[in-house]
Amino acid sequence: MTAEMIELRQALDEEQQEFAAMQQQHFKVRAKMALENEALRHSFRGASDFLMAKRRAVFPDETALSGLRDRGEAIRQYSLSKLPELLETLEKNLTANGIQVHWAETAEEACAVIHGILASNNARTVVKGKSMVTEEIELNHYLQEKGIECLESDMGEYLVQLAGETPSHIIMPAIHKNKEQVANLMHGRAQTSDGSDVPYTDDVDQMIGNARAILRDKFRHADAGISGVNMAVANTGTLCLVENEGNGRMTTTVPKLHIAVTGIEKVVEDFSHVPELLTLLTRSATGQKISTYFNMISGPKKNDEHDGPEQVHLVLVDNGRSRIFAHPVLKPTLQCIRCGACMNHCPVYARIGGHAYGSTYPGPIGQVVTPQIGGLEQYGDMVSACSLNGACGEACPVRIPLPDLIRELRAEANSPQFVNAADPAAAAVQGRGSKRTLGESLIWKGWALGHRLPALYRLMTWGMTRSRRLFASAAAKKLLSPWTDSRSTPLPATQSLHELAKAAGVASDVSRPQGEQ
Amino acid sequence: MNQTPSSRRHYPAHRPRAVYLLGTCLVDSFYPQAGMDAIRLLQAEGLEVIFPQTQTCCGQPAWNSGYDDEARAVARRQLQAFAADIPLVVMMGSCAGMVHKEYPKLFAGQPEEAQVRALAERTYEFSEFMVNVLQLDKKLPQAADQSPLNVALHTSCSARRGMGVAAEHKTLVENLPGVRLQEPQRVTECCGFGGTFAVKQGDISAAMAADKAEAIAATGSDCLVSGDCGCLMNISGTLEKQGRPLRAQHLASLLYQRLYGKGAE
Amino acid sequence: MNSRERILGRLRASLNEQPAAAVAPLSVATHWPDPAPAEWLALFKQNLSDNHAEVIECRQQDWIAVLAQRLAEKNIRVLRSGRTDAGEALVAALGAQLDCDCVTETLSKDDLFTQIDAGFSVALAGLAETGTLVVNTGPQEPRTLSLVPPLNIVLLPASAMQAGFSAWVTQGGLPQPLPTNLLLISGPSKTADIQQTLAYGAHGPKELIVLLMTDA
Repeated sequence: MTAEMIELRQALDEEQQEFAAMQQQHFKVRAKMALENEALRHSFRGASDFLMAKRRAVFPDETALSGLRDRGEAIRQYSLSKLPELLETLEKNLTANGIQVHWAETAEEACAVIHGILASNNARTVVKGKSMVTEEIELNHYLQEKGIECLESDMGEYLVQLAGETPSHIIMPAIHKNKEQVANLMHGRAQTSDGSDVPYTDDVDQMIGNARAILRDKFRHADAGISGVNMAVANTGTLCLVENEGNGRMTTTVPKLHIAVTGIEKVVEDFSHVPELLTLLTRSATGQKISTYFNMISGPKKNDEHDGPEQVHLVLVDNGRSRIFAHPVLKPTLQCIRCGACMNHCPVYARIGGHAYGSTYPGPIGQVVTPQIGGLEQYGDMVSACSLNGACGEACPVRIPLPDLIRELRAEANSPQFVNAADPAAAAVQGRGSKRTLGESLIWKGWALGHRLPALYRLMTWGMTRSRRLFASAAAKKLLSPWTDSRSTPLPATQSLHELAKAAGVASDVSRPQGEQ
Repeated sequence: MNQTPSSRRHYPAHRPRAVYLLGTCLVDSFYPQAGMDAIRLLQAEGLEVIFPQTQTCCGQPAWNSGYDDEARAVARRQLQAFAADIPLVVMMGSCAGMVHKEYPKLFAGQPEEAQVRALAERTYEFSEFMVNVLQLDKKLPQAADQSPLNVALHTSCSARRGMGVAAEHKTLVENLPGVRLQEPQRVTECCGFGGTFAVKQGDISAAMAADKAEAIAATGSDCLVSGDCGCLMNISGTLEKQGRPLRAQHLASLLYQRLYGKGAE
Repeated sequence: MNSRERILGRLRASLNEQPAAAVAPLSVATHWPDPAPAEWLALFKQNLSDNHAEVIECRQQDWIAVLAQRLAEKNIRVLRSGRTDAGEALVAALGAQLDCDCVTETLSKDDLFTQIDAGFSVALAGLAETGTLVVNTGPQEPRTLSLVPPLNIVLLPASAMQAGFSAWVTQGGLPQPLPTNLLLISGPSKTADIQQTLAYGAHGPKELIVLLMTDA
């Protein structure tokens, strides 16, 4: 091995260790680290600008976009309104089509079910198509411990796995890496089929060509393919997958065993509900009118067919979704079609990137999904990382009121009523009330008192305007440091509007009977 | 009625005789001149302005932070302060959104629900009222002060997305003779204020504010104008800290000064 | 109780507590315009070429000759087709020029991945709005021929053109029953996973040639 290669591998190992250490940090620390990383900031800013512009270009007409979003929302709400029935129909029709259906309540159970299928087929090598739910249940880790090689085949996922990291975006997993970083990673860690190092190149076509050669070899020899599902059609028993690369088709077509994994919310009733969701998904995600492939699977290979998997399985994963389903306000969380438009449009995500969230799903939808799956105790801090600017809700193709849901989760986190995370029967979000602190709740009680009593409020503003010089003091600066570290200290006016209005003779009350002229 | 595509609300066909003004707590203590400018603008249109001395805050800070009981207690007080059936004009987009869109959620299932819905219906953001009810934009060509002025306009996210009145903001600035509207890069992006977000996630907020300040500064404008004082305080505070202060004012102040040629007192 | 029953039980309990009223989705107007029939062909071609595919217009009498010339230019040596009428006609005509055959038995993965230069398929329909080929797989049309070989060739009669996916589905275009694998193909495989830079030939075909038969 050359000295350069030794050095490169050490550097890649160090980066991986830094990543692992960063993931152990508290949300705020991770966010700060991301903000201070110039290359990362550049990657995310560029990606956000690029993806927002692409989306805008395929939705030229506001009315048409609005109507399509209305339809998308209606389809998702309708599907959820009949969810248990649709799941049963789906199961019945998939089974009739020869696809075996499994149910899993938790992440552990889902992993065990998948492992069971693989084990009973003596499958030792697995290729994976892109699937966020398998990230959510940490399937790779589980299977690795059981001695099963699990290779990610989506180009972005492959790079992320090669780096020992996790995806930073649900559609573009390696969005945090620039091409120089990818070039080093491929050269330092990827190996060709004959076991030699991949020659260094930072040409994107050549890098993709190298990865293609490695992965096509894996597809050819893999015992099983594991994929996600974008939509499952109940009436026809069909699993739909959206992709550009062809790895999804490879995964679901070439190995003799295909296992599809999906959250229980992805079901739609009828095939006529599919086209609008598809077009909303691809246009919102990457600004494409359609993806290269839309792969509709309604069964394993038949006897007279010449290719395709001999077995197809579907694993339906709950993992907290039925609990989300029970929440009167947070239920629209389950409308999500995982397009990623909310993160592409989020000014917070654009600055801290996906890893800072420390969760499978980053960005606005991640802030909504993650605390509901993993509990507020562990993931409650991320709900404050939102300015409620509404860009996500405006971009959401199925009109999930994301800012409202984030606000609701703040209320859940700060609720005076604590709910033990271990109580599975409770319909509340796990860890409700776990972020409530005595100090903060006292501040808000004091605030409420001061703004509930007008006389007290006027006294406070009088005091504030009369002591405005205190605001410029060093002590005040220190007290207000989260604000004043990067901004000048705001100075109150000399007199409040209440005083000025009164002095100008502005009426305080409606004296005459009112009505329009 | 001048209804813009951005808003699907129904506006009163006739000018009301009187309106309430919700000054907002931020304007009250930090930008009271903007409040007086708004009052004078409304009065100049022949409206009686009622400024209830019992108004305090809409309750938004607590609501956005997830302290619903505290928010409701304070909001209840505003229901009393603005009880009569006349339009409520709100100085800031975010507080207008709080009353117009959030109050019905805050009071869902509460005894005041019907009263709250009626209040929400007669609540208007400042520029929304000025354009859609008073047609002030038609009057702007006769502005007293027509001297050249480059203005960077920042429409808050709550005005833009919550209330859907970005077009009204633009109309009011664009129709002022002599004023050149300078559009900053990524004009629709949040400035990073977000109320308690600026304190709870200070680092992220500061990074957003720095980018917004840079975009505003890059327009080379003479002043920064917004309909939301939280954004104003955030952006101008950042610019000042960076040693490149820029005059920042509420849209109401710009309108009053240009229309009547009077500087803020 | 097993997991299935517990999950369904929880969902049903929630619905009983908060019954969800929902409108029939298709009654919600989309205002999304379908392209006019007069625009279909042009739009189809434009969309496919935007997505890096090559669209060649041909006629019933000359499509094989047109394709043969293109295959020669590309130096294609091994081609496999599904056992369709068009595929059989192609094989009959080009057997002398190159290694050209219809697939009649299970494909060896090694051959598929290493020996075959081009796969030939026939599309069931074309979707103008997105520049999409609908490919119906089955005994006559293996799934992998449009996936594994580096060159993907698809024949489409222009009369099978439709406005878009939505119109095609609602107007009863879907085969009944559905095949084990129905495909929409809108270009050669691609990725933008490295710094949003588009690269073609990610895992599947590097090239897509669409033979648009204008008189059929």
